[in-house]
Amino acid sequence: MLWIISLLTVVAILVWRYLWQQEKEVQNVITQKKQIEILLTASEQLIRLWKDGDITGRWGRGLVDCQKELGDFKSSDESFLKCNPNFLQCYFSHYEYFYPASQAPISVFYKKGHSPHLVFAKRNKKSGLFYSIITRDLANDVDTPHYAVGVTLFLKETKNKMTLLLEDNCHEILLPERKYTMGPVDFENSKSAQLLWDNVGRKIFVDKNLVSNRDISEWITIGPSSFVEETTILRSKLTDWGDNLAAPASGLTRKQMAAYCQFRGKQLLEAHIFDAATFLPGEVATAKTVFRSPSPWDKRWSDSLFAQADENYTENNCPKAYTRECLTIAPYKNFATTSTSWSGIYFPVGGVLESLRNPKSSTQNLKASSFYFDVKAIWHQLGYRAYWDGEGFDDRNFTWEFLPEEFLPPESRVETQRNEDFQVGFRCMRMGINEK
Amino acid sequence: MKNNWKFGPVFLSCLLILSACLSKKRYEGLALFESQSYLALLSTYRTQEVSSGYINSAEEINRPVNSWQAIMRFDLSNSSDKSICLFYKIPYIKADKKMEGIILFSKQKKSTACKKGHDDGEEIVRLEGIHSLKIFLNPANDFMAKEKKQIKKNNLYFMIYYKNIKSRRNRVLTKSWMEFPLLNIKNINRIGVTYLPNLSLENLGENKKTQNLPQGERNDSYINRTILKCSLNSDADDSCDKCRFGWYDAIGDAGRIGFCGESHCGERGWPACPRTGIVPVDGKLICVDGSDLGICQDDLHVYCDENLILSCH
Repeated sequence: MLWIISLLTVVAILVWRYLWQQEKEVQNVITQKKQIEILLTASEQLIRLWKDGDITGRWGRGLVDCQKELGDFKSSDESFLKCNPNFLQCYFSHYEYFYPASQAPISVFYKKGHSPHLVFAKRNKKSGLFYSIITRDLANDVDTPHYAVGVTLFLKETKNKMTLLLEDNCHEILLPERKYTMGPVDFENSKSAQLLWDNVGRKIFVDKNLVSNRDISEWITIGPSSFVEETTILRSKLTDWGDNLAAPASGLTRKQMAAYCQFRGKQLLEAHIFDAATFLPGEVATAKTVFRSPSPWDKRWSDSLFAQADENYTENNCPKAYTRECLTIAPYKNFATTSTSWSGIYFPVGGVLESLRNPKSSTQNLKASSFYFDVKAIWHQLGYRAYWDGEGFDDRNFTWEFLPEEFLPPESRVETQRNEDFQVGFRCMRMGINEK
Repeated sequence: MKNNWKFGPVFLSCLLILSACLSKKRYEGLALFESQSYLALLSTYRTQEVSSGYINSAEEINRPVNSWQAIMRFDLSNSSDKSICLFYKIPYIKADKKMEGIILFSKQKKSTACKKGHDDGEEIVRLEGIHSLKIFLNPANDFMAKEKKQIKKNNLYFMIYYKNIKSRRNRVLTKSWMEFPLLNIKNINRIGVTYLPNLSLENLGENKKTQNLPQGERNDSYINRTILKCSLNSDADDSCDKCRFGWYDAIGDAGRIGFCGESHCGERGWPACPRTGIVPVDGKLICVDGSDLGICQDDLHVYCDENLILSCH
């Protein structure tokens, strides 16, 4: 009889043990789900930081010292911080200055009234960075974005983790699908159908901002093998960015510009697409009429601030059109959002020169409107372009005389015998596919 | 006989422990199913309806009764060769006869597209005892008035009637909503974030058995005939979305076409830039010399080249 009791006891223990183990596995899965939910809540905060930048305004007021990561806060608009990995680095390195009361970069309250779960961004021991740049080319994987900033969040209690690949879509616009036109207003064949085109059914994304020194510095630091030629040359040439990380990148040849755009899965901006994004359309809503406006904000040149400017061109005009007069009266604000075209791209006029690829006329590949010209210069009219050979940056590399003599009064000519190189910036564009 | 009675309490207590454990197990089956499905579907970047008419229907899935149906397929960011398939055995519930339904998730080869049946592949989790099921994913209305439920975009919802489940407090649950976020679903308004649960930056790509290599190289050139054509269809194997360094479009005899790499459109020997996105395809000749569908530099002409692409010379 005793053996029956023993057998039953063993069976009972085995059954109990089996059920207990099953229960443990169930609890593990349930706990794992809960931890993923906590990480997802934390990731919402990370995405907000990525998309909105410094919502507390602490960097903009100079309360956080992130000069190393972001340069001088006075010369840049806060939009520079959006979709900017350097800002994430600044935030995670100095979080106690951003939110002095919090204990961690991201604290998640999973249940009301309970103590927070602490979520941290993982720091790479080698680079010291809280993020890594991930590119499709480097990952050699089609599912990886062309360019993304990878951040790994982990839960302090369990080290459970989640990686987020954050793409930069803060700084581009989708060009509305409609009819457009190209070229300057006063060309002889201005009414020719040859100048009309449309992007119906085509998704064209255009960078809002010019490529910055920060972007190029990052590219050079990574030095991807596919671009080793370009990055090696640039590394030997451009090393000291100082406080000017947010400033438009200049000093790159056209080939290097195109290579940088390729690195980001993009193309150098084309002239007719720049026109489409800057000519004020006749009717934005109905897209019935196509219009080549001389200024980004006025249908008639005579109404524009350029035509109406008198000798007292004040600093109030500079945020909109940073012309030669502004150099002495107002600081140039990088990433400023005050000079905006109808489609949302910044600095359609003024600022630095801008290199474009012109598929229609290869000799007109430079947006000449810049702080090299007085406000009265014809170059500030949209569609008027000069020529840059894409190689060097002194007088010999530029040609300004494509316009008839009457269009080139003294204020439309550049000063000769310049000591400094011209600053030529650029921006990129990309095609998007129609998702099904 | 007397001795046997002595062990009666032992038997009874064993039975009690067993029954308590088993009744609890059934309730936990629901929680386990929900958690495991949640974790499995998290990194979904694309879904596909395998059988039409089941998703976002106001009616529960009820035909054909007592049969297995492949409902949906889920493609995951962290697995390039396998997909998750959702199968459902449709219940047949009558007063005299009860054949309850089963929800089943299994991992199958992507190439089979969930069409090989529920018993193929590797089972992830199943839930039995289903009396009815409705499935919602991005329905037309975010608020399901009839169900009094707010629906989030790109989240998959199950509304399950799962009768006679005894909880720890011995309650009878009659209806259960389950919500599964599909974090990496792509659409045109996507926020540009890829979520990789349980992965750190150091081991990205480690769990990918086969990699899909991006298409094209930097020096590919139309002039040197090293260019790679790509499709403007996002689902195609040679989709332009898969180019290594971006892409551009041109016009060929069959309409718009893409090429991987750096654009030189409009330049000598390169494709003409498209003047329009709406290319006539109804038998009208597109690729003809002098076509106004392409843009070339001022000193060049549009012509139809040997690849039947509008080019410039």
